[in-house]
Amino acid sequence: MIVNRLFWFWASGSLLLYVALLLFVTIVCVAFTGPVPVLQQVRSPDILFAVQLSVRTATVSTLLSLLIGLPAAYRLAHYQGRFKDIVDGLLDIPLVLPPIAIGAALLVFFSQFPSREPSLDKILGRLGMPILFEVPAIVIAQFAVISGYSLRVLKASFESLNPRTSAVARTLGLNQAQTFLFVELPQAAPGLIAATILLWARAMGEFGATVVLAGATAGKTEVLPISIWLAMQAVQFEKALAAAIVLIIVSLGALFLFRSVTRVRL
Amino acid sequence: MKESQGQSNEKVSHTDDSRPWLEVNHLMVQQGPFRLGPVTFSLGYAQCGVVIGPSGSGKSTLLEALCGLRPSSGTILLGGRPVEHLPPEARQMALVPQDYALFPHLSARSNILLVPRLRRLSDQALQERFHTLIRLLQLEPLLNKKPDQLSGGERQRVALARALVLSPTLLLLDEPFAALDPQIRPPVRRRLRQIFKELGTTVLLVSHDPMDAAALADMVYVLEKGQLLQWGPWDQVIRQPLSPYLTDFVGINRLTGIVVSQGDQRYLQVGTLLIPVHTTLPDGCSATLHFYPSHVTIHPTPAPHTIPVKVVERLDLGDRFQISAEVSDGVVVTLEGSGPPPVSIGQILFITITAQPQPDQ
Repeated sequence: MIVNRLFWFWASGSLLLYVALLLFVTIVCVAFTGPVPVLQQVRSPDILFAVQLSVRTATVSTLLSLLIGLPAAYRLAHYQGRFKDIVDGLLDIPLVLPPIAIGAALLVFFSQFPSREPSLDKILGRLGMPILFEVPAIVIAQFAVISGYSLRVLKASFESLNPRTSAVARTLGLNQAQTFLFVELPQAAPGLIAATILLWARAMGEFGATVVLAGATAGKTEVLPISIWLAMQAVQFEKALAAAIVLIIVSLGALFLFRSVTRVRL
Repeated sequence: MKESQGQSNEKVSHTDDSRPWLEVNHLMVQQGPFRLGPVTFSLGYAQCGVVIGPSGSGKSTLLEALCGLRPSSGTILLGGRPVEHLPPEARQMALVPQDYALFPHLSARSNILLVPRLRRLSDQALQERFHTLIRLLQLEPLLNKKPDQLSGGERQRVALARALVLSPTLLLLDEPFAALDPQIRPPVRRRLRQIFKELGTTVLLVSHDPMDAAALADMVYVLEKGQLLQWGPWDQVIRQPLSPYLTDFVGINRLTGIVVSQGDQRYLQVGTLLIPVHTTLPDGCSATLHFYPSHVTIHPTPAPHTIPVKVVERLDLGDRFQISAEVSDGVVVTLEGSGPPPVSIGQILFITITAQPQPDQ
């Protein structure tokens, strides 16, 4: 009896503590800046630019990551070969590496490969698609950081499916691709939605790889986390916190919208 | 691919009644240390074949190899057409697994119609068949429910409709009754038999319960440790069962010993006990007595040629009784009779057995 109560007390207390901490930090932020500067910031062209650039790049990198992550995770979930552990380990690299190191690695890749002169970035630049310190660099940085998560989450949701539903679909006359599209993917939908939310939120907040690969040029590669950093550099804490609050509001709003839309569809 | 899957071709090709519908030759599956086969058997058109055997005998592996879900060697002919090189979707067999594996995200109706819709089979014949199945399997009230709102029996009916709506060349059922309550198994078996006969479906089903074979099987296949021990029409196999699995099921007693002679009288020596027998087998030959409980006569007192046995279990079944009696150390025979059991546990009985010893292979 007393044990049960203590256990629930511990679980509820932990949840309460966590929620209180988040609320407290947010309230302190708002109290420190005040609602007026936040409203001013929201209307400022800098922040509006950063919001739309953040939303656009995060959406593109999330879609890219799903496009590649879905089939890759599906294959990985079905792979039982002897290199399973090695492949699994390799795919953890983006998870364990700090984003700033991923950014540095990509910077070296684009500026030194296949040679210093001309580098991949220069070759692509001549073809009219420069990468480094331009908007595509933001997408590449976000993609590199979030793809590790996308594989993990999607693989788990494919692994949780009953393999016999796929087997039955095959015997009833569906080929591998039809089975994936009409039997497995719909069953994995909840996992897919969870992955989308996680990836998009993670891409919205991505800073380390982005700052290295895309630089921090105001009005050009300035996504919201970069705005925060630029404001901090200029010792404008009010502006930094205001940008953070905007980031929270935009992200939570978009995720809420996404959740309600997908719930209706399901 | 769609043309080659057209079911009309299959029905037309079935003209030669003397040729079996399913012919399996030297089918072999290697699965880690476990090997199934090589097995060779056949099944006639519109017949029901039941594969029985204890768990781990390779029954499910056999089904998976037949429908192409597991790599195998050997040949599989279906309606005279070799299918062993085809992917599962081109074999036109329909599998119903033990857990039925309904698509959890779809209603019962969509479960049944998903594949026909994707294969764009929406002709008159399909519609008719759909409605026939709805009627036969009483699915009308279930059509709009999701699988998690259905009971075990209801799920099975939906899974059967999903498989049968495509008129499969062969219906494969894996332990169809295992997930059902024992009380509802007999009526479900009766209904399935009726549906298979009405639709003219060729069925191969797998079960660990010989009772399913007794109720449904035209042909029975006894599988043990990956080997096909015996197969044939049920009425023949059940009268000459080779596997202990089936002899136990029909209650056949087995006493194995050595043939010996004392003067003119011949005996089967089981342990220290001498059982009088009539046989032409030579002395020293290892032989087994197979006999039903009804072939045993119980005597209250010793008489010529009787054997003393000790009662170890008595089951009072109302109008009849069943007794287990120890012949010698650890060798037990089952006896039957009508009325209440005339003995108590530990009592010595005297029996005579009417049976001919068969030489052991």
